[in-house]
Amino acid sequence: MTRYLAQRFLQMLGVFLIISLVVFLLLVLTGDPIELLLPPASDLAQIDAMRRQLGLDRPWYVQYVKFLASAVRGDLGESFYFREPAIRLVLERLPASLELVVWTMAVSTVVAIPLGVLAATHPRTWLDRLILVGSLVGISAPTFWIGIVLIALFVVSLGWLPSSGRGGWEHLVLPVATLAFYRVALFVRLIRAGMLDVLGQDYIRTARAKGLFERLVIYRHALKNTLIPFVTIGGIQMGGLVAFAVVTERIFAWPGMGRLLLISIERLDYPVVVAYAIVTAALFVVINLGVDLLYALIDPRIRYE
Amino acid sequence: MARILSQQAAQRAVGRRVAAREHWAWRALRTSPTALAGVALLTTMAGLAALAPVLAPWDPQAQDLGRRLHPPSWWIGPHPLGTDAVGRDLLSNILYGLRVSVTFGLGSIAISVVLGVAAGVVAGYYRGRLDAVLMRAADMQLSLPFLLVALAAAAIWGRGLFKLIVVVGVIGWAEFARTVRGSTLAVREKEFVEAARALGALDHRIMARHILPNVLTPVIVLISVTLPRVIVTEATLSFLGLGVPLTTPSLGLLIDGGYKYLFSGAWWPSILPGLALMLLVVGINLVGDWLRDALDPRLTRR
Repeated sequence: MTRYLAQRFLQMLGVFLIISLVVFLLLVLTGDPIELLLPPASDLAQIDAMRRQLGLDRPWYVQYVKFLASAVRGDLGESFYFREPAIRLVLERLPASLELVVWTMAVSTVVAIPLGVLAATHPRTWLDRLILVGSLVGISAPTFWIGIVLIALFVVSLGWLPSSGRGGWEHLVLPVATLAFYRVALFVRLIRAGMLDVLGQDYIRTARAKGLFERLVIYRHALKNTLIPFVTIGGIQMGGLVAFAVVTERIFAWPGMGRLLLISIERLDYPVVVAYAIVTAALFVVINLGVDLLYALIDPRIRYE
Repeated sequence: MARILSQQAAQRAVGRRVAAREHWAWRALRTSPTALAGVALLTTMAGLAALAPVLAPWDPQAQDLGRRLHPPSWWIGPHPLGTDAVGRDLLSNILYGLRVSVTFGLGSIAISVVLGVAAGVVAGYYRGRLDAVLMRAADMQLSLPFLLVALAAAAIWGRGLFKLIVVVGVIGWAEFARTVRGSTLAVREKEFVEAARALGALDHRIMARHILPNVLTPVIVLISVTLPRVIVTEATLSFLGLGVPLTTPSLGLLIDGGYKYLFSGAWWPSILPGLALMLLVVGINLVGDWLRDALDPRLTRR
């Protein structure tokens, strides 16, 4: 186990190195932020001074090595715009984004499991069809559009909920519902398909023949065996949520790191973009590791040596 | 996305030639009302997109300044679905927007398929170092969400419909490569490949004539899963201001331009384009489900 974790840690460092290099190179190739940082009337001397001050007059590999050297010390450079450490800017906004991701995963799972089980235990009934049509709409509708529809309904027409900002639970409802819409639809399909597969197998017949309560057969015996693919997709979805949070944060003016990313891309604020990439990569590594460990928890046949 | 799901479904279809399954496919279509609905919906939406220049009552860029944010008049009046904030006809813009969505989807997927299939066949056929490098790269890219990679790439290479088609198309190579590589590994051990080699066929001929036709079925399944994602990605990027330029009639741009006016009561410029986009995607998903069932040997046996 320790060896496995150590191996994963080394892999993680490799991933970081490659991601930082790719992002760094791409950003250097993109363009010069100087024009955006200085007032349009600045003369050449001012531009040169600014460029030297930010270290942009050096060749890219010198910039990258300097970047790496300070990255090891936890310093990912200073935001061109905010004049604050980039990593701090991102980390400050991380909890807000994580709040969305975690709540969405929780809500999606809690809503999707009963719906999926319900559909699988009543195949080809109107209930099953209704759930299937709902999930088809759910996986087809673009996330940002769902957010807009929810705002039109619950903010503009009904006036029940606020449309922007972060605060109490009432601020959380719409962004989480927006993000959860697609995941619920996907999970329902997954659980329904998995349950239908499992329910036809012999050990379920045995469990029923033993006279176990139907509820016990379904939730203890059948559901457990549909969970492995569910955990895999769940992990992928959790990563995807970090990406879709960018969209949702924009619509609901949620003060997370996704909104910071969009603003920083617009301003060509490289250090912040690189810091975002590094923090996101770390997040994915943690999520993937969590998924792998969850497998071992669910399926005793899986062991990490 | 349902990456693992789709790949499992795709893997199950390995080695099945499309032609051999056609009969099943048509029977599935005839007997399934949802599949028929999907084909009807998809044909309608694609038809609207194709015929946009004929059907659109207005030039999508023409501004009717006297009628800004005009509500939908439905089928009477000059603007059946109303106008947007600068007085452009919404129906015409939605039709042209669908056209951009469909063009984008087909163009991008074509690039992904060509790159991915080529990489997958070569990696699976030659194995060795090339295989290891290609698959590592694919794994690495697939460990990041598609939207995030697309967002980064679009932010770097900038706007323009054609550029974006290429960027998103290139990013899509990984899933196709991994799936096709898996199928190729299975097919290259078959007797007919050995026979071809014994007869003195060269590698490129074996790959093109013997392996390629036998790994295409899972590709079709994978296309049906990735096409909706690609189309929605374009809309999302355009919505975020990182997609196509403002002069392109994209559904994402329309929604972005419209949703600021939600609070002044104008719901149509943002809700209606999204509805059109969703109908297109529902159509593709329904047809995709049918294809998946028809091409999946595990399901047809039931």
